[in-house]
Amino acid sequence: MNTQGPLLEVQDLQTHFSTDEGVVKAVDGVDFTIRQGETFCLVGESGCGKSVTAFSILQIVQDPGRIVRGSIHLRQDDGQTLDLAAMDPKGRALRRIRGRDIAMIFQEPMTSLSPVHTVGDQISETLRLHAPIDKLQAREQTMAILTRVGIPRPERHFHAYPFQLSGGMRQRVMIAMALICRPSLLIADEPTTALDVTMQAVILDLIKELQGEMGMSVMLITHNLGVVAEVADTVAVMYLGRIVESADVYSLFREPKHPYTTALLRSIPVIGLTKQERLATIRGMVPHPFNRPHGCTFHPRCDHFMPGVCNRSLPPITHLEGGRTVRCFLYGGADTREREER
Amino acid sequence: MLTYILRRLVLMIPTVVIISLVSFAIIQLPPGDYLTTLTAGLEAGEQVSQGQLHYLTERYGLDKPLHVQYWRWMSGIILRGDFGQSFEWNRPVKDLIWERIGLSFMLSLSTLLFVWAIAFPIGILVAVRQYSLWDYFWTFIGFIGLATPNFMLALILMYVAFRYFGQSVGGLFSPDFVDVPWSWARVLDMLKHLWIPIIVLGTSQTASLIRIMRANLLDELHKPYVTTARAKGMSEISLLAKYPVRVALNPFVSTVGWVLPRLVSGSVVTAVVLNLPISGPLMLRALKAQDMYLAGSFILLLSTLTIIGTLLSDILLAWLDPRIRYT
Repeated sequence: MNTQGPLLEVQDLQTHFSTDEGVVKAVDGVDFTIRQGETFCLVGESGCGKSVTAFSILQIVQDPGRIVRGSIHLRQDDGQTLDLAAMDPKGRALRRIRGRDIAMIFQEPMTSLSPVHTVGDQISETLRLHAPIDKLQAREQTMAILTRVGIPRPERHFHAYPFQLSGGMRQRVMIAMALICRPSLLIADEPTTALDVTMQAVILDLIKELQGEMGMSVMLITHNLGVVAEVADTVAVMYLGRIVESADVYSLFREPKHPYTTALLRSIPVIGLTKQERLATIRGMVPHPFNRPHGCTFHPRCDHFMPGVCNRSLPPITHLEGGRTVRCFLYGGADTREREER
Repeated sequence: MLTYILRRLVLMIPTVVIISLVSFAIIQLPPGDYLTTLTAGLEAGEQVSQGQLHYLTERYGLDKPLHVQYWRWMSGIILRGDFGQSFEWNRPVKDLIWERIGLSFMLSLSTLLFVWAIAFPIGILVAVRQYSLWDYFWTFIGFIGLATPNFMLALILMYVAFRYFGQSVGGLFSPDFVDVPWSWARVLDMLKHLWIPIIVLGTSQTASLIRIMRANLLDELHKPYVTTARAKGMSEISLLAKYPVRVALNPFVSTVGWVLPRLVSGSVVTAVVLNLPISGPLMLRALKAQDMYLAGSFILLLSTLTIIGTLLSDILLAWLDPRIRYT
């Protein structure tokens, strides 16, 4: 397989929602790359824009969300790259990418499946959209993938409706639906959030296993740092529409650079904490999207806040050793005062 | 599914019995009966013989206690299909009713098709393009359609048909065709007259159905399963038709059964204004004249059709929605 260049390269992606009250910059200048076969985790609190980033890649952001800037380059099997951000969201070209090259699984397996269509119908539909095969072949392949994702008696569950399955089974169905066309990138938007803890591990293992088998890349969106430590190769931490730090998973956990990452890691509960030691939290609240702080958006909650620096301008992306990046004045960039003030 | 239908059918029996009791009670409620009216006419010098009065009293047990009268009426219906005699028309009730219900059925059916053919596409359009010019345009038209009284619309259309198309207005047939047997010419003549009642009866229904469809679909359009379908690479039109529209039909199907009772009682005012030979005006007249067996039969029929219609709706809904079928 072609291994020159990353599979997906996102540059300066901006997705904004124009509402009556004003513009919400849900994604405000995001850069990242995903290499062939790797697992990329996007971490952040609720509302930081990680899901919108994922939806932007396939251009399925709900109205009034629009990609206003940036590029999303997908490398295809023949080595050519396509800019998904420049395509028509309703056009045939982009529809051919969806489900075939890039597939997606969602947070809520119950509501993400149609309640009135059978499981088999919904899975084989993806296949029949992208491959010139007849109903019988589609049915056989659907049975095969159902077996592969661990659904017992596929010939019976083919005709089952989503409400007849348990949460874990439904998420397996979602995975089967996403993987039936063997995509090169799987985007999983909080795939385990709606499941109980034992099921979470099972589903993550299943994704990891299938990833190895099919050689695809996975983009995993989560707010759970435990999940990140478990599966990620590289990690990007998002705060208020921007990536504040990105690194490989070992460096990030061993030596977090950005104060927000440090604070996040400190707030993971650890078994063995005594009553006197309270779990650390990040003080303050996530600011309202219309009322974003000036300069570095994290400064009101930051322990290393430098008055006159952090609240004046947006810190630039600083490249560190080992391919890490961080967006913080602690690591330089503070002298570039002529930067546009936001 | 089969046991479900059977159970529902068995449950219908006591319901119908209770309804027959209630309808009988209702027609007995007003003071006096048709004979009182007749006797009053007799005193005023009308041609009614004492023997005829006596015969009617005897046949229907009008001087007997209520439960005897009820029993005679019900046993006639169940054993012989005899709904009794209309005093006013001096004909069997069943002949009067069936004659008109055929036309009522035809009119309701064509109105229904008209309403669906217009309301569904527009309802889907305005939901998908919410707050667009189209949405506002059809919302405006829809509210006008809802707000215009049917009789008014009927009068306007009759005037237009008469003034600009030179049609004979009122009724379902031209004078030449009223009392002749069915033929192609008669059918054509009827079709020429049909458009006025269809538009009059259909306008408000279309308007409300557009609103219902729009609201139902707007609930579904932003559900995650629509996003899933989009992420699969389906085109907007086919995913729209397969997923949200399909789910949005459910609340609508659950009211389809109400069409049946409307066959009998619906559109009374319109039918009176347009002089349509359908069942509504006949029922109104029977109620006013205390033509008790005719009125009672109408009420009984109406209630039974409501029950059957609801059952049909439920079966249809179970067929359409697996969540109902399996629970």
